[in-house]
Order: sequence, then structure tokens, then C-alpha cells
Amino acid sequence: MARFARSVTATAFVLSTTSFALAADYASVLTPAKPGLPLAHPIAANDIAPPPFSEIADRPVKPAYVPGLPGLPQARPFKDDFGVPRPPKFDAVFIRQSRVENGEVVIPPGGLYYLEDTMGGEVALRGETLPVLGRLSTYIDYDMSIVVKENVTIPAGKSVVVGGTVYQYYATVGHEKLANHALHVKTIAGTDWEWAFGSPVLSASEPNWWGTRFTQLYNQGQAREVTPQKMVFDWISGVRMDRLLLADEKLFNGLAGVGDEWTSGNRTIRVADINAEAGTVRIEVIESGNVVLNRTIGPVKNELLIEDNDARKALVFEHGDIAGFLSPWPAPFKDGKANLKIYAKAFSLNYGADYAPDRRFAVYPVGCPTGHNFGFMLTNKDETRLKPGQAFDGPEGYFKVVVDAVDGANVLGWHIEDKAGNRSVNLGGRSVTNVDLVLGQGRVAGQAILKDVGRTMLERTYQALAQATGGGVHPPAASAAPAASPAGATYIAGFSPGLLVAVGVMLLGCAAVGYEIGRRRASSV
Amino acid sequence: MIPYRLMIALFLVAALGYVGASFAVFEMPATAADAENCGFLPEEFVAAGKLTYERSTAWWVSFQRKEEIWTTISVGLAVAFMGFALSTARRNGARAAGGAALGGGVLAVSALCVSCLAPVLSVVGLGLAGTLLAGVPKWLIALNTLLLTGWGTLYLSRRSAACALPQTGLPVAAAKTNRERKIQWHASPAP
Repeated sequence: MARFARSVTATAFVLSTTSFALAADYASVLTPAKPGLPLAHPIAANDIAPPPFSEIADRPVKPAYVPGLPGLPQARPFKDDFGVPRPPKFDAVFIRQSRVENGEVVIPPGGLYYLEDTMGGEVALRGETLPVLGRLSTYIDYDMSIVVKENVTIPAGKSVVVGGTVYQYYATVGHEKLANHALHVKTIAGTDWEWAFGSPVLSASEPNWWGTRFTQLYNQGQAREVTPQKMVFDWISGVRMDRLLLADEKLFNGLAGVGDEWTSGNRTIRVADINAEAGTVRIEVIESGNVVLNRTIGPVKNELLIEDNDARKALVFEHGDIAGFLSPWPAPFKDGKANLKIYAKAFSLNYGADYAPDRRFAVYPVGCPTGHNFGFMLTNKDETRLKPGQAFDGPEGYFKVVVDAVDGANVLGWHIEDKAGNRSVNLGGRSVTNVDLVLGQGRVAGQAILKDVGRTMLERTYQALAQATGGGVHPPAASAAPAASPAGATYIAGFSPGLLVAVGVMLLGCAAVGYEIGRRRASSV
Repeated sequence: MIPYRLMIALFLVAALGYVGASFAVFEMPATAADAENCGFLPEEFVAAGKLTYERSTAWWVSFQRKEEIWTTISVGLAVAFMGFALSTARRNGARAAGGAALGGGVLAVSALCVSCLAPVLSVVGLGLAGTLLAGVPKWLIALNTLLLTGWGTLYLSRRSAACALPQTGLPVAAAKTNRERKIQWHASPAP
């Protein structure tokens, strides 16, 4: 019943935006980094539903692990326009809440997601490369907001989603008759902020050690009740990466003077005016002889860059798929010319919206509360049912999940393959009852999510190894008991067909050599 | 009569050739997954094309960890056998010798398919054989190669001893013919 309810909820998964009225002006309630500094991101005026299965309890169950495939590369190094190495990029794929039903593998809406998994923050206005399913797009700008929710209860061990932030009431530590309580903070993609900011600790009984308010950049909260059973917040905030602006074509990068212009299709982008003293540049976009954009960008407010929304937006212009900005580095102006970066084929990835090149998927950029980007998720919108021999194509066919054999409740054979057809090993087996998966080695797949699913993933890997080698001791199951052997299994545990043939050839070879030696001995007598 | 010197020479040439080719085509891995496939540990992979080892050291580490010595032995044995089989063509007939040599060639290619040169070879369609042999330990492939080439060598040498060369009129050939006939009498007494 719970599964049915979850499925119905997931099936109803559409871009759901709800406006809400808050009891206070949280722009003045939240704490800035230092006195007098504005909040870098605006307070969100609406709530957008997060991707399904964002809570910790929805993590993959005893998933298969695949470190990568040639077409799903890991640890790709990139440099920005200034030659500075950026954190390596990883392709990651996750499947959660999958199951077997009537001989078919079922992946619910939102059960599969591709993640552009980065080892560190992706930064705007630097010309940083951001891979989009293999294409090397350039990350230009972003929109981030702070979502605030009021009267939020988190039961012990459970989690809630606020914007793109996931809070989990993780632990209570007793001391005499007192106690303190730890809150783990993650993203909808699974990024665990513990490595960056630590975990907030709250306490109602140890006021000299901790209080009931926490501040972790723009993830902040004020609790009114903190007990071993639950935390109740008057308000709690999280960040949401509402939009990423990227581009596939670089038109110009350098110093430009008044009158310089560039064309893209039927559009002309022109530097109409430069006022170095005021720190501004006027940009015109002309279509069919008409000025369709007349925008003055600048001045540069270096002390607030790159994260402050207003300071950043003052430098950026957009018109259709044309975008650009006045680059603050190394200097916005030199010798009367402006330092510009101009792009064509610009596109946006909007939180919760369809992924335009493949509308079977919804996109969710993942934000860090400091204002950096941590990749983006592409989640399947519809339920997928796969019979043996059928496959589900990932976004733009970037990868494929293939079911090879199902027997009763067990998935005996399934694999994932990349666009070029490079396959993983068989991820199925006699005790495999879903196609839950963790693929990749990035910040989420290779590190953060291991805290939640690492134990069962290792147990599953050991069992698969034990079955493949036919030896060793099977570990006691920590959760469900392994399923019985499927009927009709004909192979001998530990011997692949190739190994059986090789052993047969060895025996034949021994016999043949023995025969020859015996014949020689006989003839020499 | 087994030409041991010829076979040992061919074995050494082929084995050293394989080691040389392995070194020549060795590429520093581009990804962590490639590094793992080449026998390196995750902590030894620094960045694309960069390991905690220099290239020559990295090759040797990979050669040892991937147990390439067994492939080297397999290739050497197979090539030595092919040379021997072809050298017996006059006595055993071109078809038998060619078939035996072809068998030796198949053994050599099979060994290569699971070697660290296989990614290079896969472009010519050897992926299937490599997949079939992927679960077979390299020492077992080397043992099978030893058994099969050993059997082939014993068989061809027996057959050579049993078959007279055609008369050519050359003194050396005639002498050989007499010797082979003598051996034949010992091996196959008249009824």
C-alpha cells in the first residue's frame, strides 16, 4: 500500500510550483556572512517540488556498483579561461526504488537519475567547462534562491527537503541527563556538506555548548523543540539552484572596442558604447536591422563577486540564445576597450523543468549554499517497465539500462552500457531483486552516498564475488535473506564457460601428450 | 628429430618481441577506470596520462600485476611451434604442416586476446575471443599452450620420422632418406 501511494505520488510528479506566504521577511531574519553584507541570493517567492525520492530513506537498496564506462568518463580535468584547473568532472548514474513485478523490472518516475557529478564547486563568469552528456558546454551564469519553510518537524532518523537541501536528523548524543543532536545536511543529489561545513549540532539542554539555532551559510534554522524524538523548527532554510545558463559556442573572448561586432545567424552583437570611467559597456543586439536588445552592463563590484546575485547580474546580458558578460578578470577595461565574453547557442537548465533535448527527463541543477554549482540531475519523468530483452535509453541515449533475464522475483541478468555499446559486467544474480545502481566515482557516487548505501553495496559485491569464484564464506545477510537459487540454473558455480573449455582443453592436451610419450616408449622397447 | 635450437631461438625472439611490443604500445591511462584495467590502484592514478610512476616503471608495474609473463610464454611457445611445424612441411606435407602452424597461430592470437595488447587488437575484431577467454587465468592459457604445442611437436616429429622424403638425387637428401627409413623400421616392425 505504501508502495502504491508512493507510486501514485511519483506518477503525479510534474513541475509543481506553489507560491507561499511567509510570516516574516526572511531577508532580514537570515544571518549574512558579516554585518552589513547583503544576502547573496534572494528569498524564493515559491516552492518547487524537488525530484522524487530525495529523502534519505529513498536511497538505492543494496545497489550494484559500477565504477564507470568508457562512455561515462570519470575524473575529467578541465581548465577555465584563465588556465586555472577546475575540479574534475564525473558522469554518474543512480537507480533507486526499482523492483520486479510480474516478470518485469519497474523503475518508478524519478527512480533513475543521471548526475553531472563534480568533485568541487562550479563557478560562474570564469568560462568553466561543464560537460552536458558528453558535450563540452561553457557555464556562464546562474539563478539561486533561498527557500524558507516554517513549522517544520523532523522526526529522529527522518529527513525533509527544503529547496534543494535535504536535512536528516541523524544522531542524539547523551551526556548525564543532557543531550545534543546532530543534523546532517545534503543536497537532492546526495552531496554531503559535512566535508565542507561540518554538521550542525543543536541542543535544548546544553546551552553553553550549543543552542537551538544553526547557521551553515544560507542553510539556516531556528528550532523551538529539540528532543531525542524530533526537532521542530520555527523556520528552516535551504538553497535551490533555480537555473544554470550555459552555451555551446564561444563567439568572442577578449578586449573589444566601440563598434566591434559579431554575428550569429541573423543576429549581430555590437559594442555600442564604452564608458570606462563609469565602468559600463552598452551592448546592442540587432536583428533584421532592428535593435532588439539595448543593455548597459557594469560596473564591476569586485567585493561581492562571484556569488552576489545583483553584482553578477549587473555584468550579464541575454537575448534568446545569445549571452555574454563583462569579465571582471584580469581587468574589465584596458586601453579604452572592454573585456568581454560573448556566446551563442546559449541554453538554460531550469530546476524542475523538462530537459529540452529529451523531454522524457526533468532537470534539477544542484546548488551549494555558498553559490557554487554542484552539477545537475536528469531524472526520468515516467514509470519504465522492462521485460527481459528490453532496454531503457538514458537521456539522449547517453547510456542504456538493459534487462537480460528475470526469474520470478530475481533479476538474473542486467547491465548498463554506454552509447558506444561498452557494457558493464552482468549486474544481476540469484539474490538480486532490483536494478538499483550507483555508477561513478565523483563527489556523490564515489564518496557521499557511501555513507548511506556503502555497507549494502559492499555486501552485494562480496556475494557476487563469492558466487563468481565458487569459494569463500557467504556473509550473514544483514537485512533480507538471500533468495533461493532460481530454477533451471545450469551452470556450475565458480566456472565460467570459458574456464570450463580451458580445463577441458588441458585434460585433452594431457591425454594427447601422454599418448605420444607412451607410443614413443612402446616403440623404443 | 626435434630442432631444439631453432625452437628455442624462435621462442626467445617471439617472447622478447612481445615484451618489446608491450612496452612500445603501452599508454599511460587517461581515466581512473583505464588505470584500474591496467592493474593500477586508484591512489596511483593522479590525472589523465599521469600516474605516480614514470612511464617505463608504470609499464613494468602493469606487466607484473597483469601477469604478462604468462602471455609472453604462451606467445613464445606458439611461435616456436609454428616455426617447427613449417620446417617439417617437406616431410609432413604442406597441408598437415600448414594446419599445425595455423593451430599454433590460433594459440598465439588467443593468448594475445587476453593480454594487455588486446585493446589494440580489438579494433580488428578480436573482442569476442577476448571475452570468451576473459575468465580464464593466464597461467592456464600458458599451460594449455605448452600441452598443445608439446603434443603437436611430438606428433609432427613422429610423423616426420615415419615419412620418407621424396628422392631428389642430392647426396644429402639421400642420406637423410636412408636414415629416416632406418628409423621407420625401428618404429614400425614388419608384420
